[in-house]
Amino acid sequence: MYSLATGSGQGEAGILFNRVEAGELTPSMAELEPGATVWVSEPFGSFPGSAGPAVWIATGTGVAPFLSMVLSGLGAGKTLIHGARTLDSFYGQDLLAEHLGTGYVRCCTTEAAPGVFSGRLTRYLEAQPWTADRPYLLCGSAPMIVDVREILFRKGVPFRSILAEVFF
Amino acid sequence: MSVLLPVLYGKTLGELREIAKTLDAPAHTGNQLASWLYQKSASSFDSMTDLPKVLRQRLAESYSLGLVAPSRVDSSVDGTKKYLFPVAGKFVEAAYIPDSDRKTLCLSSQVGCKMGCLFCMTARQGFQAHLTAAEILNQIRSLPEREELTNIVYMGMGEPLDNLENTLASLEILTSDWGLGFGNQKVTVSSIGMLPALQTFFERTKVRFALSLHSPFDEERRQLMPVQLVHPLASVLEYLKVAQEQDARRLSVEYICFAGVNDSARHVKELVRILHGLKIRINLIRFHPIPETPLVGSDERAMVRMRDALIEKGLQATIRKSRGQDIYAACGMLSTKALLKPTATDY
Repeated sequence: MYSLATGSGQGEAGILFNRVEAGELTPSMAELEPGATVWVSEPFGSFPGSAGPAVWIATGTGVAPFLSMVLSGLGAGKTLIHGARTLDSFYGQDLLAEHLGTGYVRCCTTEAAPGVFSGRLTRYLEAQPWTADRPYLLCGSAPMIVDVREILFRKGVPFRSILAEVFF
Repeated sequence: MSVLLPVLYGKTLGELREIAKTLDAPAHTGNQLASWLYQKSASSFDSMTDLPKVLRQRLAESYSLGLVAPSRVDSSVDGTKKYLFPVAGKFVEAAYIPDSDRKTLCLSSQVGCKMGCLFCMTARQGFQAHLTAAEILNQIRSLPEREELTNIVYMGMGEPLDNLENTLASLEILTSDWGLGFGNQKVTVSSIGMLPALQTFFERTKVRFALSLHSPFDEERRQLMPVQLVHPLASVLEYLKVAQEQDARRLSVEYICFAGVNDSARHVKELVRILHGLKIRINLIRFHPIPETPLVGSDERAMVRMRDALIEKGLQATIRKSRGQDIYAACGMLSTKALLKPTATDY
């Protein structure tokens, strides 16, 4: 199950995925040629985007729903903390930097570059003050969600302000 | 060098018949194997005395039985026992819960869990592996009290419907006459409600189903259970109403009571509204506190008030007895706390 990474009204639907060699699906998807027919299920659920300020926190392809929100015109007032292992795996980074400006923060664990925080996303989060006056939307693996939630709790963010989409 | 052989325990009758074929044995050998594995609890191929010796040798060369003893047991003053079973370098928990004539085993379906529920200790481990049908059933087979068991509940670590095929295979073996022979009414699968898998589960089994609900309100359930974003409760309940009309299956709701979060009159009213049309029992559950959680369990008065209010509105509601608190009996507590702090994940 994947989140859409494209905006509403774009006329096409896109997803982000990493090719997992041992996986059942992604190697086949990676080999698809343009024009191939793909069967998809009906959509399940939703991930709420809103016009007000919010903090988005994602790792790797977990940035997909936030890309979708930016492309749907919901980027204003948002801060996006994006974690990835390598500099080339910040999917959509040019577009996100263009729309979010200094609100787009990259945290890279294995490579360094100017303007990129060196280290885990959680280390970045620990070092910042976070306020309870805005929603926090998280997307990533269960361990990431659990770790980030605990950091935010320690910073005084109430659990009611945190919504998470876990990679199922 | 040791070689890992395929495991025979946990194979369905159909699979055992296929295996018999590959060993050039007659078709009924599959039935004999099922009998030895699941009814006579054979602990070696040599003990399968109605199989030809040469076949027993071939089985021993090609398969292992796959039985794994628990590596640790913690006993509560109330008789509850928490067993830790090793699985591929990790651990899963199974809780044996005796209560007069009723002897229940709460077993696990995954190592860890990927659902990320706010109140769950297992979520702290993240997802590590699906259990095979053999590993699920081994929690029964290798339990010292296995002969006493009357009820099996899939309420331990993991989300059973996220490991659908192995869960279904284990249920087939658990409830078949050729298998472990538990009645469908004695087996309950608990799930947070993953819709496509839930439909398959209802189509292919007749066991009882328990839905982890925890809040009747969409927004609040999202805060507690990320799955609500993907499989909203309204859709799950809509499906359950259709399914119950078709097979009158016994359904229940699991509802952990959190102080000031989901235990108000407003919640009672909404529960009554959304469960209308379902024949369903609500189990109110005390929260076993876990580290670093912002949640606090409701006190006894609040739980009794909620139960009574639900009953007054015509729903069947009970407060589940809290068991094994002195041995970290909440699912995931033992394996997470004592044995498994994962190395930092490079996410």
